[in-house]
Amino acid sequence: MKLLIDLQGAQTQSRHRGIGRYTRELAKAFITQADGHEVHLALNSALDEDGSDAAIAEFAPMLPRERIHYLRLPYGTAEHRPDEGAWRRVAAARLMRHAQEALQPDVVWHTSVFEGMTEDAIVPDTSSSRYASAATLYDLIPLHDDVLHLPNAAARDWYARRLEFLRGCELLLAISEWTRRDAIERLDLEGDRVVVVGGAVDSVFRPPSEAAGAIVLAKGITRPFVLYNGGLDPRKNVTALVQAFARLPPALREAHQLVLVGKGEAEQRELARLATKLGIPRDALLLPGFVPDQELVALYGTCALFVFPSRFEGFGLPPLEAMACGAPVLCSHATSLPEVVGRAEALFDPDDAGQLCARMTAALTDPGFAQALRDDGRRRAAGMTWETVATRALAGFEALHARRNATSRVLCVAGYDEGPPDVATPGADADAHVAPDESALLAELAALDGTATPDDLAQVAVGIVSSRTRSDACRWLVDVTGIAGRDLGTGIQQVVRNVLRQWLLAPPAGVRIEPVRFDAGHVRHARAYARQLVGSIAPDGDDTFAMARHDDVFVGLDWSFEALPAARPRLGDWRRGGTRTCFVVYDLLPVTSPQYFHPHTGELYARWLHDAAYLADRFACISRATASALTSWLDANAPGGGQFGRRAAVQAFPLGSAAHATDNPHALRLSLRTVLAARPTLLMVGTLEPRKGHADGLDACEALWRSGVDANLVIAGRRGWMSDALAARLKRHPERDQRMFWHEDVDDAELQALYAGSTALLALSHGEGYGLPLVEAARHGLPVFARDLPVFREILGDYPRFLTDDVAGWPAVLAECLAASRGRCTPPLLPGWSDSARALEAIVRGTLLD
Amino acid sequence: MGLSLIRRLFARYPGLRWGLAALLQRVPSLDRRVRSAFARMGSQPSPLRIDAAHLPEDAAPVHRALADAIARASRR
Repeated sequence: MKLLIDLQGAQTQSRHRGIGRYTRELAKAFITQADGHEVHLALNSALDEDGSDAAIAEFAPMLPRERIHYLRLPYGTAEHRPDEGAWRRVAAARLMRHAQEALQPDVVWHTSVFEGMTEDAIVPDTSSSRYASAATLYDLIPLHDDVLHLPNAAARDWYARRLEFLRGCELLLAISEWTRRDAIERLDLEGDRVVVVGGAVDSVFRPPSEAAGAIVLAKGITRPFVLYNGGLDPRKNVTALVQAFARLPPALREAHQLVLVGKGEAEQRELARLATKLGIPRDALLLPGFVPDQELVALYGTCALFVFPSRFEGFGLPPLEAMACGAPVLCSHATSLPEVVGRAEALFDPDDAGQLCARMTAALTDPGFAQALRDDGRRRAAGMTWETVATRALAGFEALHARRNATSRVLCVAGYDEGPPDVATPGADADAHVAPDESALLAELAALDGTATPDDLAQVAVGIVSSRTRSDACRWLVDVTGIAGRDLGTGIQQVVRNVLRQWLLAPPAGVRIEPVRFDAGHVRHARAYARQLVGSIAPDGDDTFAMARHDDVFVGLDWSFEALPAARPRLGDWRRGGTRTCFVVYDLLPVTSPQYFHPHTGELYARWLHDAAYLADRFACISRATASALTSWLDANAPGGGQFGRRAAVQAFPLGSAAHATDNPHALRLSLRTVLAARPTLLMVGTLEPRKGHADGLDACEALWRSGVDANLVIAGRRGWMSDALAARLKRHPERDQRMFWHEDVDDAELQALYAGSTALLALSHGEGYGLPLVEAARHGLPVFARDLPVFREILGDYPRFLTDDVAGWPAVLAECLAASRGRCTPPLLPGWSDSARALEAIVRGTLLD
Repeated sequence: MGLSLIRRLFARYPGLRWGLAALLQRVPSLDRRVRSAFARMGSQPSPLRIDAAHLPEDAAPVHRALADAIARASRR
């Protein structure tokens, strides 16, 4: 049996209440027990993102990711404004049915039908017979008091439609026998369509630890207390408890406090007024408001008595929680509550404060009675587990599935049988991109009353496309935002250009490469840039807006640190739909070595890192040193994991460099050709900024010149940040254009010629994510003098001559080496760009296995 | 509009960033204001709901077919 659980009950605001807990706990127990069946989950994309993320985080460890479906359904369907979006609302119901049918379940289980009044929760229209519908039924309490619960026409209409949906379900899972009987009577259902599955108590509710005393004291509780927990609305009948407490024998009342846990300022004020009127001293009534579970356990476990006087319940979770924590419990005998509490002596008439007072007096004065309530309650609570509920639900589904199979009914929706006449006419269905079953849906939608806005059509179109079963190759959406805007020839852009070229020319097996760029929070294809890079091999088309689907991967190859914050919601949304993400990390220097950057750069970079940590399934770092730095940063700054509470894996891949070092002396400008031939040359390559160590290089060369060593210093690099003083020093240097040369406009060809014509490379940077100039120099066999950074040793082993921290000793080392040899070294074996692209490919593929 | 212009200028002329950075180093009060403006710029969320102006390419054929079907239905 293939069962699809519609998890909207765990996505709406109900997720903070009993329905959310019931949905989550039962679904988890069910998944654990449903061996031999195929369980899928469906989430509604229009609902609150935090609820969706929490649900994915909770269920992803239990199910393969491809079984968690994020249905793209329209926004703006909530029914509290019935005059708006009528077409959209009906279309959403049809679209939801279509999306569920596309998943081909045998049974769809709706976990909470009565959502959608104030949120965009949807139930599908009931015309499908391709699967059986089932729903959890918590209660029909609004039918018992519609004035209170359904105060206006919009609410009544909404409730009536949802009841109609329930009537259309083939199986209802009632949470109590009372709810079952109520549903059969009020909805006029056959008895075998409603089964009782019951309720259960969460495992956090158990007798508290010794720390409970401190929690209780912190609440202002100073003597034995009578406890209530739940809503404070009239249905809960809390006033009866206040009246009964007031009628306790004076000595007994003075020895106790009354603690009423529950939200609602107006209700709290009303209860406080009543207590004063009944002569209950101010310090005897405590109204702590909402109390989190951990504190609730302490209150349950230490109270003298728990009382629950409600007039209507579908089940009655608070008394069960109190019983599980070891509290003696007295409970109203209304509706489902006797099923929870069981023991007749623990029950009372909710409309008889005198009877309640008598029961309370007995429980508070007779230790034997209180202990019997405790023992009995704990025993009953121990038998009400989610496993038991899941077993009953599973039996219900299996019976339903067997019934459908036995009758071998093949029902077709009338509209489907008759075909889609509206769009089957010539021309209408000619577009090969619309599948036949989609044409039928389009015909239905076209026939709906009401007006569809252009945005409605766009939302529905995206929903239809997203519900398709995937048959095409998955796509890797490769970010090229920066380089597509302007190629500045930076080291990062060199990586982006080369890896993307490799992937476009020889795509990874089964993958379509699609370069993309961010555009004000949206994502566009970057095909114009791709054509510029590889010509006609690039994907066809314009730079239209892109969407990602399940099993696509977003690859953050470029460093889009300015654009990512605005795009974070979009990428987060894609991830909910099953898209994976992998970010390439080039270095962490702005946060690990902030002294070399403007504070603003550090802030922007930290923001990018936080966003990437939130979004990433994997990180691909350009060196092990960078991977190590990133791991440390994640430990300190994102220990709780990202969007789905899971820490991204951190891996490293090697960068490539040009396969063959080219040497074209004519690429050199004339002035340099002459001086390179005249004397030995020390070369420094990199943007002029404090981290790169240009000042140390210049100091060393000045010392060489003072000691009579005749050598050039050539600096190839644009002027960067925090470099005013150094730039002025270079511009006014007496050796400028004599033996010291600084050129900002060195292109790739001239740089290759410089590597070929120089005597040695000076790599004096204080920190690097990689060290591309060293690799390029090594390809030419050019000797390298390098500051001793772990990343340089990682990339080139012992190829460079590493300089000690004794900067004053550098001139002597350089002079000795310049005098000893002007020859080439044997180039080490270095990875090319194809190796690099393949290594990154392996990391990106790994995201699909996570 | 000002922030949008700055963003476009930065995208077009990345060197401007370093110029601004150098300027900000010298004028702390301006630094604070600009940083605050950038923080606001970065926090602008992108609406997730799909609209017709940002229709993804993959959905365009279905969108066209749906619009055509509705147009035909309304003519009858």
